[in-house]
Amino acid sequence: MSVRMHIPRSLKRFKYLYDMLSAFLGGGSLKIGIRKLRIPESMHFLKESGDEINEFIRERIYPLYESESLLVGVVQYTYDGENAEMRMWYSSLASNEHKSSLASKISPEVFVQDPGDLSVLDVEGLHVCYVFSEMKRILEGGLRPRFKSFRDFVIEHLDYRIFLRDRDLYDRLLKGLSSSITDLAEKLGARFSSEMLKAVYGNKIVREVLRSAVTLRDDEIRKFLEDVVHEMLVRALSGRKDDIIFTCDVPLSGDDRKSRREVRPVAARYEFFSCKETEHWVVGTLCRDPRNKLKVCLRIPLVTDVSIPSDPLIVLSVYPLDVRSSMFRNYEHMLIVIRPIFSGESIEHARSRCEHVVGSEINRINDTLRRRYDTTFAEAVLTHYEVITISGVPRRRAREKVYKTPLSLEAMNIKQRLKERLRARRSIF
Amino acid sequence: MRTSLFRKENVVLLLGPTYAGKTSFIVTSCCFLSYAEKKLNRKIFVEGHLPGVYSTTDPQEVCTKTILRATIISDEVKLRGGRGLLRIVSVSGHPPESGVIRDDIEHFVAGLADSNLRFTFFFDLEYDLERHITMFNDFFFPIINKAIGRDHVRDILLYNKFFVVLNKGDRILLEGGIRELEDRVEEYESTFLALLIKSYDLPEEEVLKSYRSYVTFCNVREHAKLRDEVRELLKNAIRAFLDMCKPVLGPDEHRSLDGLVGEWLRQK
Repeated sequence: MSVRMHIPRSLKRFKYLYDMLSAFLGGGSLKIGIRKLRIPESMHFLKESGDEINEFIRERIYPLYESESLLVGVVQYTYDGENAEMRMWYSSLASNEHKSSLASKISPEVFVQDPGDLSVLDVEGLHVCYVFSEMKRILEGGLRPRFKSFRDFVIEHLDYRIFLRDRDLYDRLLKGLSSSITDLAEKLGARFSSEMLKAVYGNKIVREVLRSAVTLRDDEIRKFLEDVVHEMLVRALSGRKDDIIFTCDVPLSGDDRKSRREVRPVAARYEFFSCKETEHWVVGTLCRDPRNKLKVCLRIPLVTDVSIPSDPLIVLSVYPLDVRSSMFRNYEHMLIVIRPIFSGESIEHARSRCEHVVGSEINRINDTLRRRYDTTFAEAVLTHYEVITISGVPRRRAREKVYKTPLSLEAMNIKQRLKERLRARRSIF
Repeated sequence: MRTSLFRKENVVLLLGPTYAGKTSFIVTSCCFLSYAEKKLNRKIFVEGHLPGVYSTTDPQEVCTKTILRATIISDEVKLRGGRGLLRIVSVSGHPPESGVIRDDIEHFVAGLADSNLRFTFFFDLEYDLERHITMFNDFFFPIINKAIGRDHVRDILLYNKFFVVLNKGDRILLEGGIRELEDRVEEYESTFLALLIKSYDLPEEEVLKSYRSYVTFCNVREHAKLRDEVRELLKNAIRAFLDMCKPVLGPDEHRSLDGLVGEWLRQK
């Protein structure tokens, strides 16, 4: 028996959030897919304290509230610390004609009416905060004809930021979820089949806890899933009950299979694996921005030949190799792989492809950089602002690390003379 | 000596530490410009390249969509007055952690060497003065010296005049009052001028005549009702902007723009 979980389809509209939730529910390590950063520097990893997050919301998001095309969302712990919930605020929701279309796609309780509600979040529990601008344009169907799909448009045009708290927070979230499952399971007086849990969560922690598990009877598993896990997932996803479906992969007759295919939403099936051999490769894109400047947009802040402070938060592409499409062709090179999620592939096969592609792509990038731009890959990486942020030294902090230089004696004398003169003519207003 | 057949490009280069408010200054100016263009029914803003908007011909877009704190290499706006074109450019004030960023900035500044260049030095009144000194000594002065040449920089400072913008005056004003603000402005301005005089071997008397300073507030996106004093600081920012634009604005243009400042501020 295997279990497949459907994440609310409505969330697919927000691809990145959807992927995050998929990873959250499915993986033992954090995996978030970001196809393309239109403004690479807009990605930021939260290392700040709760106060700084609040400051961010106050200083950066509040001033934009008048913008008609802003969507702000957060995913955070609930106060019980066991679940995650999502909230959104869309600036034009109250008066906008798109309200109904939005509301029909996303559970109404997800939306907060007052933007102020977002700022009273338990910031320590903040998991993801994202800001989409240009929402109005998208909702009005302002798709450019050259894009084939809504998704492509979003990828190309969304000006978004994703803020993630550090790895510890994620681990705690995951651990909390895992332990709550275990506790509940024990209350039922039974233990899980490790294989079944792996299929549901793919979570190393859970697997370890349940290594010595005994197999439950099918009806016990079903009861547990329906009574406990299902409800918890509904709450965690702020979804509707019908959006989360557990199905039993029992052999079906031909007719059953056909009807099942017709009614079932397309399942997001992710498989995770750790690509140990390549985890020190950098994943990024080399592209030109509209100002014709060369950029390397990193996906993972680990570089073997560049010294960047450790403790990085690993952000990975969740796209399998075989979905590389024409939208990436405006890049000179594109690297999208490390620990990727392959669908329907064996881990060995995926790993070998991963190694091959990462290695050859990095070599190509190096060659191009040396030949055309007379620079090295490491240097190109460092030109990217976000690398500095990823390294844990945001510019705001970096400037506080600048050492102090007192004026020389000679300059000090000049200053004293000038002070008198300036005082005489000083007028601020 | 050969002279160019073409008129030299007018450029104002903004230099200052990160988060001093260089991008905010440009954004604030564009907000005013957007208002003024509508009132005068005349196009002044030609194009802008800023984080978040990239290339735009709409000052309102710069005003509302620019992402502050995100300048990697440079920001730029181009304006057209009755007497020609003006570029206002700012370079990243990021501490010199990366050689490549510094190289890029040097290349960018070197490209301005042949223009009719003027410098604007930005200060964050909340940021430590001695760190400002480090950044000018170790980052900005070496960059412009290398890109333009020390003697040329010296000539530009003396003959083209320069601006000093002491930003975030509102915070000092609200926390410490007017007296505190005056003291701090005096301290920052005199220190910087002394540094400049010493670094470029400039005559004191000439320096005092060749610059203008402004105490400003550039957070035009601040939505709270502004206090009168803070509004005055915002006015200073627009004054600084108009003074920078003076070489390309006709006298009537400058007067009419100046006349709109008060009206624009009343909305704030």
